[in-house]
Amino acid sequence: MLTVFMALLWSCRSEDLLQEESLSGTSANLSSAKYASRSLWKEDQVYINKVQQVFLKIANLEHVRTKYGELNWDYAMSFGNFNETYALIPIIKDNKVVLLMEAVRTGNRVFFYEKDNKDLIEFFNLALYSNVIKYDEEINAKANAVSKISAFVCTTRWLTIGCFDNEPNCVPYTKAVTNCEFQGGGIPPKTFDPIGMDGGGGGNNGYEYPEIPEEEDPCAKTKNLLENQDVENIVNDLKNHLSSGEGGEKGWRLNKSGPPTETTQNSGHSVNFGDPSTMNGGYHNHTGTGVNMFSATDIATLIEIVRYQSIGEVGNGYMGIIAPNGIHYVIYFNGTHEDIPAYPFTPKDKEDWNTLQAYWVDTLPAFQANLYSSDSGNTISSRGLEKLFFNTLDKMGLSNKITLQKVENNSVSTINLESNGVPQSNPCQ
Amino acid sequence: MKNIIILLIIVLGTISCKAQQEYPINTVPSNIPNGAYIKDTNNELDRFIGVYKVLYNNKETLININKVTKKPFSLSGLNYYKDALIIKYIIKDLSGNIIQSTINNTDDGKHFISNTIILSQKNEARFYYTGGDCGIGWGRISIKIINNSEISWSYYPSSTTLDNINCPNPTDTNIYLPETKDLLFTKQ
Repeated sequence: MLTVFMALLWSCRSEDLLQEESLSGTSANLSSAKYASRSLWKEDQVYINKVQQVFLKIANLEHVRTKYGELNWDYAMSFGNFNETYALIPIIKDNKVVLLMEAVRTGNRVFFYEKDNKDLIEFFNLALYSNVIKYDEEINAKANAVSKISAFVCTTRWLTIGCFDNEPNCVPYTKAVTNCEFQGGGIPPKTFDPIGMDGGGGGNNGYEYPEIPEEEDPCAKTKNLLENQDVENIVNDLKNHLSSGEGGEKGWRLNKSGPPTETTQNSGHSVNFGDPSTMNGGYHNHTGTGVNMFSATDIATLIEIVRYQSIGEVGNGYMGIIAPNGIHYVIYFNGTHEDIPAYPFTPKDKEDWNTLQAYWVDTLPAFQANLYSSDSGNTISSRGLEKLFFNTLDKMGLSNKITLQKVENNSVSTINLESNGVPQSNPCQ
Repeated sequence: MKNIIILLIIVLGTISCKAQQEYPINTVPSNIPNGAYIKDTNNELDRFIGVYKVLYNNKETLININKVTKKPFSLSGLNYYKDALIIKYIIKDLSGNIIQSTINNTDDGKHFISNTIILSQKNEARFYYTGGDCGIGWGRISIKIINNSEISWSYYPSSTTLDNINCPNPTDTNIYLPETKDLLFTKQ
């Protein structure tokens, strides 16, 4: 009986000691300790766990310890949940957080970077070593008006440090920190080198990430989209606009927050979507006089919408068109953040791709009438328009990066380019 | 030394010949080599040359269709030459005030009209129009020869999407070209 009691006591003491050792960073194997989240916030634990596995597989822990310190995985923070794409891991030296390691997944690769941000480091120190009495967080989409191409989801976390009884003059202290998800482009962040052999991150190639999360099935995605009441209303509104004979173009913005709003500066053959960083998607009509398929400018606007989507959620941005004769297409970006063109397309680019579309509308039915015309070469068929779309993607450097879907009588089909270069419609089940 | 110079001349000559590789008039300037020449070998363009006029929607539109031989073009990273029909135009109101004129336009990226393909059997030339600000109004134009004194004009403007990054401030979103099909122009 006494032995059991003593063993229990020892066990409790051991846990306390372990916790102290973990926090103080004196444990020799902290970096490799099995991850069990102790963060005050909800973290992407699946991701942090997998990142630790990747890290331990490739890291030279002695080198990491000497060069940086010990990684305390239990206090890693993902600052929101971005579908297994982002986490910050505190690095401890002499009982304090001295640096953070940023782990970013793109596709099946994970990259490690140094995050030497004073505010964030202080925040982690408070979270690990202080008497936190209150905490909260808010996640917001944020646009950077200066760089324009750097807009992102930002998470603000607060914590309040309370006072102990023996601190009579103490005033509770609140610390807030905002961390925005990783964005490609700009000055590359400093690589965290877990090996001590190369520049870390596998010389910018990253390290293999196991079991990447499944992307949402595009068919299910479009079906869900069409069931959204806002989208349904917009589609009906644009169809009514076309049948009213009023003429001209009309468009709707599906905003990240708030209800949909109409596009501005609508004219006979243009709509202005305004700020793409505050949108999830857009819909507009084509009048039927020109090319009833996504133009290069439609695709360019989709790219800007996608640029401002959360990392790991770039496929959420979409663009839809409604045109006469029941034409209804939707496009999504299906690449990763790294696949997004680094800079917006130039006016000359877009002008050239428009010109090529004009060529293809003339040449595809005229010279390949059997494939791309239903009236002996006089006009271009739906398949011809789809071919023109894939040709445009190719010229824009976006081949296989955008999913095209056609909606006919509430049935959705995914249009794929077959190996013979001819588009094929594959109905969704 | 003399042999080297001769060799250089031959090599440069060969490269030059390659740069001048000729293609038929209906070639899409998409998958051709840099320096290619899309040539009007059978002079199919010539019959469309002329000055034509129409009064439509209280505006007088005068178009001048001209042929430019071996005009340099740059399209989607490709530089090539083409025997091209170029349309320049003047649009006036009923009082004779000029609403829009491209007669002195030297910008091939704005309000620029040039041919895509020629359908000789149909007496038809197809054109692309780059549009105005931010490409607004870009699209296709068809010109058909009806008889010695008339042509028909069809203009098919396409859609342009704008946003704060892709063209934040278009100054003019109006299209002034006759936006209709089968409009008869009279030769001047």
